[in-house]
Amino acid sequence: MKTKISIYIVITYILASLFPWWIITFSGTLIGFISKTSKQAILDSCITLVSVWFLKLILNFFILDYLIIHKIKEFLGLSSFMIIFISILIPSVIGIFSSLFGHQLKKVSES
Amino acid sequence: MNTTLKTLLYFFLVCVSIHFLNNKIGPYPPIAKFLDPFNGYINSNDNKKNNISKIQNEDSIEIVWDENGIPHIFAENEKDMYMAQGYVVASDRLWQMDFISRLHAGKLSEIIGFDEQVLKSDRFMRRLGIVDGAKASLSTIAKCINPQNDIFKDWDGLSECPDGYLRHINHDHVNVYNMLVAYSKGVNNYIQNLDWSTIPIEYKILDYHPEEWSPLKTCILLKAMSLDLSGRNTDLLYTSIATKYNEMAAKFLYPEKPYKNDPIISEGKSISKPSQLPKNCVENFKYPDIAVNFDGLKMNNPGIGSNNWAIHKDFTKNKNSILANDPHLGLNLPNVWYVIQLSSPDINNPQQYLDVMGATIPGAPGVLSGFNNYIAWGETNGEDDVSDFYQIEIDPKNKNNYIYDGKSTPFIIKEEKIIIRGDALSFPKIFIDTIKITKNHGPIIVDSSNLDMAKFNQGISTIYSDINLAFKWVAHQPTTEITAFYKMNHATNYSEFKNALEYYHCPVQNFVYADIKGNIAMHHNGKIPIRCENYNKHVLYGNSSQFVWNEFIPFDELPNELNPKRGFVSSANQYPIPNEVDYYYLPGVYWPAHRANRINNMLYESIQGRVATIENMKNIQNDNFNKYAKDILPYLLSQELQSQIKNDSMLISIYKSLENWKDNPIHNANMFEPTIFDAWYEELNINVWGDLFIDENGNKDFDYYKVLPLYDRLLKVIENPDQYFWIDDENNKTFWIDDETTAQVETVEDIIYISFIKAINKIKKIFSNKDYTQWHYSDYRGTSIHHILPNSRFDAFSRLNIPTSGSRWSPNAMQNKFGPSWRYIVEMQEDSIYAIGIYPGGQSGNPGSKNYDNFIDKWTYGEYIDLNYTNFENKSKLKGVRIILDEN
Repeated sequence: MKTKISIYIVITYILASLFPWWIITFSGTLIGFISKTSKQAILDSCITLVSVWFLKLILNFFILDYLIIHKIKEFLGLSSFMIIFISILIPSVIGIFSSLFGHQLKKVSES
Repeated sequence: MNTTLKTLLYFFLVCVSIHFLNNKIGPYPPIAKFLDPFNGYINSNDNKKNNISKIQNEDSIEIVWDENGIPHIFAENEKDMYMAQGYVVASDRLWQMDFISRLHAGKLSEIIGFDEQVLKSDRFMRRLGIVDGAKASLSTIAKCINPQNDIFKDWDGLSECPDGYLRHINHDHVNVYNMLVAYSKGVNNYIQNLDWSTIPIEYKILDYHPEEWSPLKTCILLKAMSLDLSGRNTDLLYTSIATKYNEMAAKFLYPEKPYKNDPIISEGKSISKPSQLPKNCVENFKYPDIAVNFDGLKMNNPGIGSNNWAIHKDFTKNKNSILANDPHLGLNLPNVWYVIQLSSPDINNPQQYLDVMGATIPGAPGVLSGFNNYIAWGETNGEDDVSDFYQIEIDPKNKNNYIYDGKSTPFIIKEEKIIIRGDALSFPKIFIDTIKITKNHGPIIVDSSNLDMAKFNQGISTIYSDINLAFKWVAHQPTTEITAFYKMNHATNYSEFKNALEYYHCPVQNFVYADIKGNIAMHHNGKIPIRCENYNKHVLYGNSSQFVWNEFIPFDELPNELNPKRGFVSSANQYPIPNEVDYYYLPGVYWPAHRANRINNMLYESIQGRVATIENMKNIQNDNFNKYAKDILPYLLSQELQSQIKNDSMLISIYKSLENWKDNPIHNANMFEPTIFDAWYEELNINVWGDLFIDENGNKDFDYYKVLPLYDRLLKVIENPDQYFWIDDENNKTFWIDDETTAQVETVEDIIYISFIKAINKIKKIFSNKDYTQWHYSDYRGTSIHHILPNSRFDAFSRLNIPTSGSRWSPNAMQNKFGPSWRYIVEMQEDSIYAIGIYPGGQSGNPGSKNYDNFIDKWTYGEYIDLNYTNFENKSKLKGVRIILDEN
C-alpha cells in the first residue's frame, strides 16, 4: 500500500514538474483505472494528488523568498491557512472526479 | 444509471472542474493554474540571468548588474548592445511595457474582459489615434511601400513586408531603424525563452501571454509619453466657461501668462522676433457655444511638472558643469523609468566609445534622460498646448460627409473591432466602434456616444451624432522623437546636441544641456503651431480652413539660451519667456513660477563664491520650501481673522503657529503647519472658484481637481480682491471672491475665515482627537505609489502612505500620487563623470523581487545611489554580477 502510494506520488510529482497543473487529472484517472474499488480509487488518488501539491508547497515555503507569498496572500485577501486549504482542496476535487472517471472507464473497458 | 452514462458524467465533471479552475472568473485569476505550486505564482521570480545566453549576438557582450540591479551593458557593436538592452529590460519590465503599449493601442479589453471603464478607455485610445500616430512616426524611419503606386502599408517594423511591397528605410534614419529592430529582437528573445512557469506574475493573474515586441510598439510608447505630457487640453473647459459666463471670465481664469513670472529664458535678447506671423487673424472671431464635460483628456490637472537646471563650470567648486533633472510624473509601481548604461564602439565613429547612461522608459531603446562621455541632458515638460478641438458640421444630405470650405467632404471611416475577452463563465465578444476622421482636423474623439453611457454600453452605433468634436494634435503627425534621442545619445558637443533637437517634436520639452567643456544650455523645444492669439483657447469651428494650423515656430526661433551671464539655466514648467517680450503667441497652461523662483534663488545662493557642488544640487531637488505660502500667507493671516477666532484658544494657537511658520514655510513630513496650509488652500479654492462649476440644480458640473484655475489666480484675487471681477452681458459686476451660490456678498475676510474654519474641521475629522501638533503632514497628505493596474486588490503590489515631505509648490514637488519620478545629478568632468540618481521604485518589475521597490525609502528621505557610471575601457573595474556572452 505504502509502496504503491509512494510510486504514485513520485510519478505524479515528476509529471507535475514537467506539465501544466491539469496533468494531475491524468494521474487521478490512471489511479482510478488501476484501483479495485471506487472507494480505493478516491482514497489513493486524493492522497497522491494532495501529497504532491502539499509537498511542493511546503518545499516552496522553505526554499523561496517569503516576499511573493506574503504579497499574494494580501492580493487574494487570504490567510496562509486558507491558501494551504485551497491548495489541498483543488487536488482533492480533481482527485475525486478523475479517479471516479478512471474507475468507471475501467468498468466500461471490462464490460 | 448504467456504466457508460456514469463514465460520461464523471468525464463531464472532470472537464468542468478543469474549465473552472483553469480559466479566470471575472477579476479573479484562474485559481488552480495560479496556485499550482509547480508552475503558478510561486515561480515568478527574478529570472533575468536565465537563458540570457540565447541572445542572438554577433560579438561578445559583457553585462554587469551592480549592487542596485542596474545593468551596465558592454558590447562590441551597437546592434548587440541594443539587442542586449531589449533582453535585459524585458527581463525586468516585460509586463509593464506590454501593458502600457496595449493600453494606448486600445487593446485592454482583450486581456481584461468586459469592464465598462476598460472598454471606455479602449474606445477613447482608438479614437485618439495613438496607433495611427505611431505608424506615421515609424513610416518616417522605415515603411513597406508598393513601388508601383508609392502607397505604403500598415507595418509593425519587424515582420516581412506583404507581397508586392518592399521595405524602404529612410537613409537619414538607418541607424535608428537598426536600433529599433535589434531592441525588438532582444525583447523577443526573452519572450521566446518564457513559459507559463517563468512568465511575470501579472500575466498569471490576468491569464494571458505576451505578444511579440516590434518597433511599432516602441513608437506607441513614445506617443503614450506625448499623451501623458501634452494630452492636456483646456479647450472644452475654456469654451464651457466662456459660454456659461463670458470671454472676460474665461480669460482671467485660464491665462497663458502666469502672474509674477520668472521665465525660463533669462535674457530677452536671446529670443528671436517672430519671422512668420500667423495670417488672416480675426480679433473677435466666432466660436461654437458648447458646454461639454468630457473627462477623456486631462484638463487642468497640475500634477505633472518637472525641474531641471545646469550650472556653468565657472560657477562650480570643481570647475565642471553640473546638471540636475527631476521629472515629476504620476507615480506607479513599476516605476515609469528604468536606469541603464549602454557601451559599445560608436557606430558613427568606431575610434571612440559610446558610453551612455541614464533613464529610459521600458520599451524604448537608448536613454531618454542621461549623459555620455561628453554631454548630459534632461527634460522638463514645456506645457505648451499642441492640440485643438474643432466642431465638425455634418453634411445634412450625406451624414458620411462633413462641410469644409463650403464643400461636402467625406470622412475617412474606420471600423474598430474591440475584442472583449471571455472567461470561465462567458464567451468572448466583439464591440465595433465607428471612427470618423477628418482630413484637416483630426479624428472625431467626442461625440454623443462618449457622452451617453447607456447607448454606449448597449453598443448602439452613434455615428450620426449631434456633437462632433475633432481633435487635431501634433502627436498625430509623423514625428521623430526616437531619432532625436538616438542622436542625443551619440552627441559629443553642443552643436551635435542641437542638431539632435531638430528631430524632436512632441511633447514640447525644456531640454537642459551641459558638457565636459563647461557649456550649459536650455532649449524650449518641440513643434509649436503658429496660431492667432486666443484661437487655440476655444473649441473652434471646423467647417473651414480658417482655424487650421499647418505651420510651426521655426526651430531656430524657439526660446533657447547658451551660457547665459547669470551662470545657470533652469526650468520648472513656467512660461518660457518674459511676459512682456514680443514673441509668437505661446498657448499653454504653464505653471505659475513659484517653484521656478525658489529654484532660481537657491541657484543664485549656490553659485555665490562660484563654489556650487553636487551637495547643493541635492539640497535644491529635495527642498521643501513653499514660496507660494510665503506670498499668500501674509494676506490670509490678517488682523480680521485673528479677531474672528479670538474666542477659540486652539484656533488662536494655530494662528500663532502659522504666523511663526510663514517666514519659512517648509513642508516637512513631521510638521503640522503644512497640513493646515494644504487644507486651507483647498477650501479657499472651493470657496472662491467652486460656484463657477455648479449647474442650475446646484450640482457640480466639473470635477474640481481637474478644472480649478492654477494657484496664481487665487493669490491674485486674495491680494487684490477689489480689483478682480467679471462683468456679465448685462453689465453686472461680480467679484471673483464672492460666492454666488449664497444670497449675501462675501468679502475676502469672510472667505478666508469660512475656509479656515472648514479646513480645521476637515482636519479634525481626519485626525479624530489628536492634538493639533500631531496633525503631521505625512499623515494628512503622504504619497501612495500604486501598482499600474488601478484596482485595490493590487494594493498588495503597491507602497501606500509613504511619509514624504515636499509640496506641489516646492522644488521637491511631492503630491499624493505625483512626484519626482527620477532625480538625477551629474558632474561633467573630462574623463571622470560622476552621476547619482534615484527614483521611487526599483529596477525589477517583479513584486516578488527585492529590487521591486528598494529605492523608495532612499527617495523618500532625499538620498541617492551612485549610478556607477563606468566607461568601456574600465569595465573590468565595475563590481557586480557579471555575465559574459560569447559570440554566436
